Amino acid sequence: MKSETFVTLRTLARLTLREALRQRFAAGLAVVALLLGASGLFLSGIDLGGAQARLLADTGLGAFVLFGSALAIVVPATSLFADLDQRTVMSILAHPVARWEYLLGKWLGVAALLGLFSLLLTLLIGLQLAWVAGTPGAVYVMSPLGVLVAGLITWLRLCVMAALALAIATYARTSLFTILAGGGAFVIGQLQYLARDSWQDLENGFLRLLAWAVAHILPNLQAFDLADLLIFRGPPEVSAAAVLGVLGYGVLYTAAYLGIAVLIFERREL
Amino acid sequence: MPGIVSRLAVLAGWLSRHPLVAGLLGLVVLAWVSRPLENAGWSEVQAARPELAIGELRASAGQGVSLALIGGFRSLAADFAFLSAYLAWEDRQLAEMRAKLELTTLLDPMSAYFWKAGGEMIALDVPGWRIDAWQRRHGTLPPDSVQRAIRREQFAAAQRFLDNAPEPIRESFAMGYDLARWHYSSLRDQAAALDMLESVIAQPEATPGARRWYAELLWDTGRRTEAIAYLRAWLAAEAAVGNPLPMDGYLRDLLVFFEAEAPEAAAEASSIGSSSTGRGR
Repeated sequence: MKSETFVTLRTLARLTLREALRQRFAAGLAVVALLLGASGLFLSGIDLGGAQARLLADTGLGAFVLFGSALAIVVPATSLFADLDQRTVMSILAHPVARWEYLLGKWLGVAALLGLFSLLLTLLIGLQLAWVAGTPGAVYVMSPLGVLVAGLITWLRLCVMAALALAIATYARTSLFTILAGGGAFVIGQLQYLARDSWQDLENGFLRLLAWAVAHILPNLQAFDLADLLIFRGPPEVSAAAVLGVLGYGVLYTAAYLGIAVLIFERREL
Repeated sequence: MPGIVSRLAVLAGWLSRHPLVAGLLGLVVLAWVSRPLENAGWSEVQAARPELAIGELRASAGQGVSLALIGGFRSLAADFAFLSAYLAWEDRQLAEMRAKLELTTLLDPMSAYFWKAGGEMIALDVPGWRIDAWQRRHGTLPPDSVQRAIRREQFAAAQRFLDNAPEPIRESFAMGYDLARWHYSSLRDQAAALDMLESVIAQPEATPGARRWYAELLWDTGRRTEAIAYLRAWLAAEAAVGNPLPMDGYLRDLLVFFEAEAPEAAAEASSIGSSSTGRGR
């Protein structure tokens, strides 16, 4: 990669990150996610299943995925449309900056923001599990390396969502549509395995086509739930092939959505 | 051949003017290409955590399952599902209770508590409901044979429920001990209780209380030589490692009682004592 391109991407990423950090939304969401993640410590008092560590990991990862996905959808949408509405994009593209560089830089900024968010939530989960690790008779014992890899996999899951949101944003006309469509894609992605397993059995032609489209256009986001297993089992028990497979899957889909975003944005009238 | 090439060129030109369609087609190809990568992780996730099928989703609408599906929080959703099973238990709504128990264990299959509590509800509580219902209908308690049949039916239902538990839970000492206890208290079946206990008593998690009960069951079912040999071997093994048991005195008294009651069995046990390990049979 040419050094000018690298500088451009770095500058755009930094601008996007700074702008996102200035917004109260990102900080607010991170605080709520941390609070919800930490609520496992209090909820474990009323947990019926009897495994405190399991509940802590569940609430921590749940907050990580839910609020991280909200961040991954809302930040690219609002950031891109703010640039379009305020004509900032015109002044950026007036410099020797290609459209693909602009989009990639924006995504890198969002990925950095999601990286910070992921770091916070991974630390929270790790600290909480370390806190309860000494509980006598604990069934679930944390794997420190597993928690780190789980954080990495979940960050990649959020990066896929950010790339998907960016692809939707390049086609959409409003940020609201992007956010709603991104939210829908998140929910459908979570249930993608159902569509994949059942589209052939559907009798209604339209539903069959719809399920087929869902199964082939959106990634199976639940494949990233490997993070859930890693927290307690760690890499030796969860195979390296599974970890590498999910990482590769995430990278491929991120690249694909970014590619689509670039294809559409190249032809978009600004 | 040139015809195909020119058609492909036309298609490529059309796709370049319609990037969204090109992108979607690319995604379809990607879904196919990335399947091995996806399956590498997805198969491990599925193996560890059964996924909810469409039928189960329909049956569980409004039970917080959507929370578990779209945002994680499976343990919390399982807690809520178990609470609703408990409410159904309070109202003696058998079908609903069973459905909620199935849902609970589907959401959090690794919680031994849910399996145990669910199994107890089905095996120990439901027979009481059915006997009460009979009494309300007929104005009298059902005959013993009917009561036994009801208990056996419910016990079989509980076992079918527990068959779905993950192997580590299904084959754990705690589960085997509970099943033995249910056999004993609900079906009054000492032999079945002994069989069940026998299958798990050698596990290191076996408690002293369970091992004492095992010795007593051996005695009560007529396997007196084995009961004496087991107690002797156990006490000797614990003494050898300098680990006096909390109920050491009781166990010794029990052994003395067994030996006094059945001197022939005690003599026979002496001949096989050397082959016993002290950790089950």
